Amino acid sequence: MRSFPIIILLFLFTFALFGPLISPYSYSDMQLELKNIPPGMKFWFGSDELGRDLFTRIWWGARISLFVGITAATIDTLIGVFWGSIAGYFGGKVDELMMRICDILHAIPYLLVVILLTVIRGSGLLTILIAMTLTGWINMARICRSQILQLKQNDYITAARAIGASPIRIIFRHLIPNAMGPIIATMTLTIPTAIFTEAFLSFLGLGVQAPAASWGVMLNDGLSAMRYYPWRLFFPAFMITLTMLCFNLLGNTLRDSLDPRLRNR
Amino acid sequence: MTMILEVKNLYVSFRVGRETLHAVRNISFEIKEGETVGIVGESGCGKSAAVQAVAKLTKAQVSGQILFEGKENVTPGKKIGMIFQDPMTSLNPTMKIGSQITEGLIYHKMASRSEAKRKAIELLHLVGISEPLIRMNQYPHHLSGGMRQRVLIAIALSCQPKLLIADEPTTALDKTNKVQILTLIQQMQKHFQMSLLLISHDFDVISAVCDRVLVMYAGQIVERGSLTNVIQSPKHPYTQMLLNCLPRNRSQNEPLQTIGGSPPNLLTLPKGCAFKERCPYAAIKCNEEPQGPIRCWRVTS
Repeated sequence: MRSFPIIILLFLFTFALFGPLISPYSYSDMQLELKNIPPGMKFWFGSDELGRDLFTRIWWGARISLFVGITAATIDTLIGVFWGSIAGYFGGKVDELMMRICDILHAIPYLLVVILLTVIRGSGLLTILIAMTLTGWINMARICRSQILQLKQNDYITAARAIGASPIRIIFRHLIPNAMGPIIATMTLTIPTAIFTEAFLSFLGLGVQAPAASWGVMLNDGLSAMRYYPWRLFFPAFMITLTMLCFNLLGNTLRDSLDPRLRNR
Repeated sequence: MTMILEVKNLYVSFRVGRETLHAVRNISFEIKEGETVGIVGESGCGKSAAVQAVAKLTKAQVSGQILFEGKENVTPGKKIGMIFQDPMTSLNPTMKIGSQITEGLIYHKMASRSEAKRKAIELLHLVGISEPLIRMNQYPHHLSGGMRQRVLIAIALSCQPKLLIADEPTTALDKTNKVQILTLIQQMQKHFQMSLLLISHDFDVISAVCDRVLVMYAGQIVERGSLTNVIQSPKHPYTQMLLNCLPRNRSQNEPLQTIGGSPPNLLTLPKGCAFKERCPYAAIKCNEEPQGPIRCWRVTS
């Protein structure tokens, strides 16, 4: 049961990589005479109003979603861990200043940032990534800081200082490896949020632009045809739900099993 | 004999809200080469605060002089090794035993990686750990409490320090391990020709190992002297009462002795002698601060 999300995710990754190859259509091929065909032998997941194969588009969308999700989570983790561990270890005024900066960034309405960035940079993948990571790392920084605050009380940190190790060494050699469990768990839990955000922005028209396929774009397309051609809404919605569910389950499993205090039980 | 450590007029103070708490109030002592000095006293007497200041581990304000081999600046770890109280929490759970022992050596550039590894295996063997080669690649949770304490000793010895500080090294261990670890510390002290500063609340531990004893109470050294002097003819009432608390110092079927009350709150210290509230000999004179090496009016006057 615990390996269920991993199996599904591996399946998703494989299809994101090879799915478009096994279908005879490309994601932007339009066959106007074959529009809105229900799922069947010709179009496995059906076709949309322009006669594009949904199966191919779903896996193209998966590429974008997984790429955005993993990249955003990685960037968030790098910035957040760095920021949080320094704030947590040094404490006092440094901590105060760094965490207040977080609070200020966190207070800026997110959608406003995205719209502003879209105006400046034009919409696209990079804009979404920048918008997401601009404030996305704050959660990681807070979690990392709280972990470090707790961990630095430990005797082995005092012992490391007794060896004469520098703060940087203590943070990277002693503190972060011990905080790795929550960090990885949080990172895994950031991925679905990022995927959802990308889908949401694309749904609003602020993200990936046609003819590129993203689950959000496909949802938006499918929404108008929900009553007559439900498969056009169902497949992207199902994929988003499934991906988010799997990453969330994986995150929870990781959080439980990466805890060093539980390792020898 | 040369002095390894000289501590002069040491104060250690913590900020508690708006007030300042003096955990260590004006103590001076010295340790000669190869000597073993013990600090004894109840919990909260400033023993740990004092040695953490010596090892430069404290975040509190420290004033006074700490001279190590006549010099003020010492890199902790290189010249001073430290053994901690709780072996269960003093090892990093995410690092292998081997890399924890070699860390200091490599960090201070005292040995190359392979040299350090060889040295670590030698040290593990020396502190009595079987199959050092296997242990090097194990994690702390694979070892028992006694073995972890041995590993901690190996870490403290890795840079061949001149001074070993042992902060209650046996408190978290059971009785059989306790004797073994104490013997091991003594052996290591001879082997590496170190001075040893041992902290304990247990006179038994102190008397098994030390040459000289410092008795601390409420942040001050109330009595000092050679082990035999202090044990056989304790001058300060606190020392006398501490010794009376030992199970072996009571006659048969007599209940265990205790010292009534608890150490004074260091934020609201009474005027004069800090021990007067628990002292059976307290007199009017005790409202003034006692002077002299033994901080009691009964001895000085």
